[in-house]
This record gives sequence, structure tokens and C-alpha cells, in this order.
Amino acid sequence: MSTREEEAMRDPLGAGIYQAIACRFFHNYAVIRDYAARRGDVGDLPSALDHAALRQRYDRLIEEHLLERPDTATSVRAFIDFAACVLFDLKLNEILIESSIVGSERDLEEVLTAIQRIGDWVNKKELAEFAAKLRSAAPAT
Amino acid sequence: MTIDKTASLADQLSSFKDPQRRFVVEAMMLRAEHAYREAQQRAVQYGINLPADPDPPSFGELTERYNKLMEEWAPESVTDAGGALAYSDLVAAIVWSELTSSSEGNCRIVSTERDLGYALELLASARRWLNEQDIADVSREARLAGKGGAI
Repeated sequence: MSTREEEAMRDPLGAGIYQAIACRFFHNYAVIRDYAARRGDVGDLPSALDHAALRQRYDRLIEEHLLERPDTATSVRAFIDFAACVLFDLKLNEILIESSIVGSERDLEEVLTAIQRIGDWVNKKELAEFAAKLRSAAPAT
Repeated sequence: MTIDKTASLADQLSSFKDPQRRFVVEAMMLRAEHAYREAQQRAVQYGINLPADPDPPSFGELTERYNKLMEEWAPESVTDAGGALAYSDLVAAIVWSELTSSSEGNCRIVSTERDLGYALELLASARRWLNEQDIADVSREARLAGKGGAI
């Protein structure tokens, strides 16, 4: 990947959102690891991260990034991935009867916030597409 | 969608013919009818007389129509911003009903697990469109940078 491509990929907002997703995965890892531990040997599985520290980090990431408005497709994709990840967590937790990193009620609120942020950006895009259609349909002067 | 007052009415109405938006409107309508039927049933239980109110299809019929519609359309790839917006609106409706139904204990048009599964499929469809947008944006920026233009 060239430096220019690497530069184009840089997206601090997306990075923050993906960090929050990583925290969710670490939480799920801890839950499943604990399942194994309760049943016997965990083999050489790495230790789980401390829940309180993970939760603190997650809360900070959400506070810093989830309310921010994404202004590029790259950032919006991170929001979509975040919403999908939380929905996946909700499904998973229903099967395992476990709580997600923040609990199902806040999960749902976070999905709604992410969807709102996605909607804000897509709405702008839609208006731009509509304006472009109008321009192309207008008779040439 | 935010209505653009400069657009003609015909242009604005034509957006409602978009099959993806129509699908979302139909899915929302089925969800609303299901909620309405449930409220109507509760009203009857409480002895409230609703003689003039319309009788919506049965719960089973609504669920069947909803599942058929979702199975057909949720995996469909979104083709424009309007479609992506409509799909995300439907995800929000699913999540919102999940958020409110657990506290009220009301019945659902489909199970939580299935509804969340549909929401995931809708998001995956919107994501595919977004990927194309992202690639287009990056290549446009690269072209501009290559020409020495401002990004």
C-alpha cells in the first residue's frame, strides 16, 4: 500500500469506533473463556482483560466518538459495523443468556445513536444525488 | 427523507416508486398494523368499544407477510442513498420496538432473534452500497491528488 493510500485510509473517528468494537469482542472473549474455565482446563488461552478497565475504556470511546457526526464513507462504514456488532451481541447474548459489555438496554440505545449518525450522512448524500439528478434533467441553457 | 422544496412534486413522488423504499414502507406498515391489532385486542379486553375501527389481518397473517417480505428484500443490495436511508430507518424501527417492547411485555411480529437477524441483513445490504461509495470517494480523492488539485 502506498503512503498516499495509507493516508487516504486514515480515519480517527473510524479508529475510535473500531476500538469500541474491539472492547466488545474482548468482553465476549472473557465470557466464553470463563465458560471454558468453569468446565475445566482453558489450556494456553491468553488471560482475559480486566472487566472494569475494559468497561471504562469502552465508555470513554463511546462518549468521545459515538456522538460525533461522520463526514466520510469510511467513518460511516465504521458506524454500520458498530451497529451490526451490537446487534450481533444482542443475538449472541440471547443465546448465551449473558450480558454484553453494557447490557441490552444500552446496546439498543447505542445502535439507535449509530443509526442516527449513519442517517445524517446518508441524508446529505441523498440530497446531493437528488440535486445531481435535477441538474442533469434540466434543459441545457 | 428531507423534502427539498425546490423539487417538483412529480420528482418527489417518483422517489416513492423506488422498490426498496416501497419495501421499507410496506414492512413499517405491517409492523404498525401488528401493533395496532395488539392495541385493539387489549382495548377489547378492557371493555373499550371500538365499533368503527378497521379490522386488520390476523397476527399470523401479518407475520407471514412480514417474513416473506423481509426474506425477499432484506438481502437485496441497496442501489442509492435513498435506499440506504430507508434500510437504516427500518433497522431503527426494529431496534426501537425491541427497546420498548421488553418493558411493556407486548407480543412481536416476529421473534427478537429473527428481527435482529433481519436488522443485520439490512445493515449488511447498506454496507455493501457504502463500500462502493467509499471506493468511489477514495479514487476521486486520489485522482484529485494526482492532478495536484485540492482534496
